[in-house]
Amino acid sequence: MVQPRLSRRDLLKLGLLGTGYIALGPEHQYVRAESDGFTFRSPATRPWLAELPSPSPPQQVAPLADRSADYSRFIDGDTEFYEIEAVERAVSFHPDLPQTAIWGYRDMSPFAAPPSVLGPTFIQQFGPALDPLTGRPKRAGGVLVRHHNNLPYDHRGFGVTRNTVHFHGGHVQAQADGFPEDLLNPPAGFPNKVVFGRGEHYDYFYPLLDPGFVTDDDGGLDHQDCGDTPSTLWYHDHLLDFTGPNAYRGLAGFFLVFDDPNSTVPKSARDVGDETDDRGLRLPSGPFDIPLVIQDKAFAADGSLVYSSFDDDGFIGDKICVNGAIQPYLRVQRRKYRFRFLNGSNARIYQIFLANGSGVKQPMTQIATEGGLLAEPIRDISSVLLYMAERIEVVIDFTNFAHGTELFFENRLRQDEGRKPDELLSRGPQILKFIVEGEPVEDPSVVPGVLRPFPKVRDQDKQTAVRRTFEFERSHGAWAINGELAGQLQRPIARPRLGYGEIWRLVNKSGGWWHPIHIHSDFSRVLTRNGKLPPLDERDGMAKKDTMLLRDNETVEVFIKFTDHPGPWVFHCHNMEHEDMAMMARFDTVR
Amino acid sequence: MARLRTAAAATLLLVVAAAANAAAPVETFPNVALRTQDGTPVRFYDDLVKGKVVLINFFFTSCTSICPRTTGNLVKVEEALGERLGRDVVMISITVDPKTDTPAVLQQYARRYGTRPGWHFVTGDPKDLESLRRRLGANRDGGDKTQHTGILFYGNDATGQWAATPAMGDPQGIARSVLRLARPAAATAPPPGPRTASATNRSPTRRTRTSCRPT
Repeated sequence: MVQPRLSRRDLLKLGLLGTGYIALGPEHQYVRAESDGFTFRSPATRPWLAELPSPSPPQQVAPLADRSADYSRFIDGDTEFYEIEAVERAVSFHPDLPQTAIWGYRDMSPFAAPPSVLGPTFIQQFGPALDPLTGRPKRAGGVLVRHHNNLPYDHRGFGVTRNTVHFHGGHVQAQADGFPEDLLNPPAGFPNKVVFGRGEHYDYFYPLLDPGFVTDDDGGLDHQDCGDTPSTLWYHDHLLDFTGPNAYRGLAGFFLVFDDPNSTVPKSARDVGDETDDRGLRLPSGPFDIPLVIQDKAFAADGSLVYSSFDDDGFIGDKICVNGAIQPYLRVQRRKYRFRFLNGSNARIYQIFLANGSGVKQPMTQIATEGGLLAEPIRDISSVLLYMAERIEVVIDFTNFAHGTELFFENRLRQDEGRKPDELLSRGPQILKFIVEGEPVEDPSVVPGVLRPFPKVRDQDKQTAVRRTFEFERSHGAWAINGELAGQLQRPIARPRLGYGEIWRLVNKSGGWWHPIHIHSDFSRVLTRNGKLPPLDERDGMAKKDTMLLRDNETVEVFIKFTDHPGPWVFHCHNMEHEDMAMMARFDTVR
Repeated sequence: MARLRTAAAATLLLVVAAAANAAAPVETFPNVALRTQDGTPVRFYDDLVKGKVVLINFFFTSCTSICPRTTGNLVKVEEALGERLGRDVVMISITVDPKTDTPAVLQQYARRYGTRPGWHFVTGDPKDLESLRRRLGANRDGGDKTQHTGILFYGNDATGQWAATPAMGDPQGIARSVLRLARPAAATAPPPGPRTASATNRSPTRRTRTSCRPT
């Protein structure tokens, strides 16, 4: 899948590494036409030539003795250690394209699988679990990931070779969250330096605890607090002003979290990732549980990535990649599969249909979103709307399709610029092909009528919640939040108290732009959308979200209770170019 | 051995190609003829941008809404840039009203704000100014030229790294962001070895927290 031509080390060995070295030809640019339309055309590529890539999990390394002292409280004999580096490397997005230089996360273990376009996919289990020896709840050992920055020292072109790695959807200490810039006067306990340059590294610790576990007197067993996870998380670069180009260059990967089979969560709600284990929900697992990141890119004739540094509406590419491949195929058996969508695009929103070659829609069952499993499955949906950073998980049953049947994920949402989608079409580009093979096979997986129920926010909690309103505006071409020009991260816009509920009204007053708003640290419960009950797939009592879409003039009300970890954090628009143009604010959770 | 030879040949090709690329700009800009507040004729790319770290905004002198506050804020950015301004960092304020904003008017405007050399107020042919607006993506609010006057573009032409931020943002923060882009161009240090890295959070300077429990 990945065939680096010559590594930097090879070049060094040969003594041929000049200061002007550029891996794979010059950068290219596209300029939007006066009409504002997307004018760049990537080279033509034939569909369905390559198999869908699936990034491998990283391999553990020996405990890092010189690790950051920030996390001492959490680290024990069960802690797993990983080392990941950001490097430039050559990859293939499509057999018809020359190799492409990307920035990617790479597993540094000597036993690492060959890297792919995406970073390694972490697969972990959440605590707390019952300790088999004591019979008492025991927290998970957690994961310490040391991220190295080994990006090129002589880089030219879009993207900046300083890194800060955000654990998107994670509930971690603030210093492990990937704050976008260094703070001159950080709150007590927060490091002065969180952004790391070339040749440096930074330690991130992910305790893999359900929110509430650390603070709850009963050991975090309150199901209301305890039910936020497991879920489909991801990690990506979050550098101030340059998240768009850095993530577009490839700095992103999946982080999947499951329940421990001995979890303290009731077994009828456990997502253990093993369809044959009756200690949990038997959702499709293993090779039948497939994460799919959707990203649009543009390519020059020499294979290099094309980006526009001056498209503040948001970058829109003309090649839609699934797990870093353009129009790949996947052979599927006649049984159920779990697919985890992540929209990892900078600014493109998708509406993805399951359809046959003639466009006839086929049913899917939605089972999860950002905050993990829904309370109940939503059956018989034909499409999912997927905005930036959003995760939606579906189960598709291929049992009744004959051998040789071809089915497709088809994106019918037309979007020509970063502001918002243009229209829902009756047909659209096919982005992934399924080829159904063989006879029906034994399928131990089930999608029960109840997945992971949790109580809605209580009325009394709503009544006592601190209320805040954040209005997202546009002022003379620049983004503003509550009339203040955005982008000031040196001071917080709000100081929520840990453990106290808040209701945030998120209002889009910017006119013709859509904004998916991502709030760091804890999941939100969506109470109302435009004053009405929200759709099922985001409604409190069904779903927990970390990113909420604001269409034209929309208002979304969310309940959020920050727990455990003092700030600083950020909330921001996840249209990465909007985020890079400062549509972001800092909030500090305080005791 | 044969593989090594092939590798070496490929590398040579890469290095030759790189030498050719080294001089080529990553992003190209219309090299239009402009005049500064001194009346000096300049080419936008060759004279103002090429090889430099630049800050670019759009404005017009008769604007009474956002421009005066923006220019006032940019004066603070100018102060924060210190000696770097005029050396490897330049500021370019492009009028969107060339009919009114002649070099003399710009001169008066610059004097009013007491700007230093290294901050260029420029005017030119409306067509050329429009091409700059288009290139920087500052033309996308219909025909309303007062829009996008709130944005400050900044970048490093030598490395091809560009960003945009609200022009009314914290001036110290803007200057820090701009100067961070400037540093790599000045330093040509060799790449560090992969494992000689220093942990940026290995020795926290401040560490007070001992418990996650609220008090």
